[in-house]
Amino acid sequence: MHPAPFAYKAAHSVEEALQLLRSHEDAKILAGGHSLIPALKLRLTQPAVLIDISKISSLRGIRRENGKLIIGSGTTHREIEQSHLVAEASPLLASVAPQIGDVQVRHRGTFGGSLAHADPAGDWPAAALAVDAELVIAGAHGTRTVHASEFFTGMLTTVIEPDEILTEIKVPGEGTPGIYLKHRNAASGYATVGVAVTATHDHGRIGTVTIGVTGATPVAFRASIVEHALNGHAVSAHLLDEAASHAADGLECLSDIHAPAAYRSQLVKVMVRRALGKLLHA
Amino acid sequence: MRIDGTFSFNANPEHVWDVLLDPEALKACIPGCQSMTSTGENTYVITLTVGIAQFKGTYDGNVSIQDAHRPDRYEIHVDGKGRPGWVRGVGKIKLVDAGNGATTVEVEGDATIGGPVFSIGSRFVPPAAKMLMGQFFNAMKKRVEGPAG
Ligand SMILES: Cc1cc2nc3c(=O)[nH]c(=O)nc-3n(C[C@H](O)[C@H](O)[C@H](O)COP(=O)(O)OP(=O)(O)OC[C@H]3O[C@@H](n4cnc5c(N)ncnc54)[C@H](O)[C@@H]3O)c2cc1C
Repeated sequence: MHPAPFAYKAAHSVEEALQLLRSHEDAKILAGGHSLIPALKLRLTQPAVLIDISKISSLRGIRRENGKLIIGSGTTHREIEQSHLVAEASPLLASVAPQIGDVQVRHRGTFGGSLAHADPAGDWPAAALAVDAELVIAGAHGTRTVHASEFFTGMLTTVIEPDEILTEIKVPGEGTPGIYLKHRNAASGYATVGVAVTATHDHGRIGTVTIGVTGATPVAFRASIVEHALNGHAVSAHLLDEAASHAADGLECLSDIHAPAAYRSQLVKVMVRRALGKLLHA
Repeated sequence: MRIDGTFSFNANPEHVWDVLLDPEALKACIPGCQSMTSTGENTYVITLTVGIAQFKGTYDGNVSIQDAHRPDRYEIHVDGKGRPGWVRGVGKIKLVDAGNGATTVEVEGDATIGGPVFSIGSRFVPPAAKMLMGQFFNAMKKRVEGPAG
């Protein structure tokens, strides 16, 4: 299928992109295009103008500053996958990147595009929640920073306003152990359920555990019930079993022909348990 | 696709019934309702613009209320189509007297969808439908319980 006609503008700086967004009604940001273009082709969305931000060099790249990892929104999944800095500073992000789509998708799709799109089955939202990422959003009146816990507001929706751009994402860079487990839909490769977990422990005692879950519900969430049951306690297989068994408490899971709600909620519990076992060796 | 839900109202079943089936209330509470015109007893043609985030579409359809037994139960039949796809469905609605002047409304919906929205958007449709149903009943609840209702 062919998209409806649209005007194409390439921006070369964030200021220019913001200016273009303000001066055109019904304009949309185009990053890697791997979620937007398929939707355009099916005419599920028909913006009048696309503003390409993939040529803005300041939106690309990974650096460490004051102990934090700072990732430009236009950085591709592949760049994150291949970054030594990410591997060292955020094992969780390093674990997510290679599990996204296939290598062609990872070469085009961007970290920021994925977060802005807020697909209920997207992989990055779970990780952003688990590392409590700070998302920097630029608009007409400068920039604002929003924590991941406040960023996702519903299925395919975030706090980003139509005239704003996500510019960079800050995540803790102390190398906290983390892992992403993904149960892939056999056809699409998207997550039926994905769990992103970080955990610290010392001499058999759990420090802090954080758990982000995607795919199960219309919007990714933190499994705080499980986190509270674990933080500060002595590691034991029994404790992990018990805590993980509550991972789906109160959830209204998505349901489709691939995975009914009960299956998704079972997956959440099992996968949280497995991820905890891998990180806490119990 | 099944869409079920339960909603509670602080009003007796007769009052809830009269508001739920009032064409003016329907027009005001159906999310994205652009127009709704009666074509006969309990039948309407309707135009809606609904969707999630940027993925919005306009649908034209026929709505009819059938098997209506005031104040206990009715069925709402929907048949619509738009550029994003088509939908055909039936909602069975039951009003249960919850005592103390309250009513529980139980919805059992069954719908079939097709077209482009189905080919890539199918996984978004059930949660979107659920969200729209929630918006509809919350708006109705305000109307039933509010000062004007
Ligand atoms: C075959 C295939 C398989 C895939 N598999 C997976 C998978 O397994 N896991 C997964 O998570 N994803 C998967 N994806 C999606 C992929 O990761 C997308 O790249 C990603 O979801 C969106 O990023 P993008 O850069 O392509 O954004 P685009 O498609 O360009 O944009 C997506 C949306 O975000 C907005 N946007 C983009 N960047 C910004 C910004 N900086 N500020 C404000 N708004 C912005 C756009 O306006 C648009 O609404 C897959 C895609 C395909 C085609």
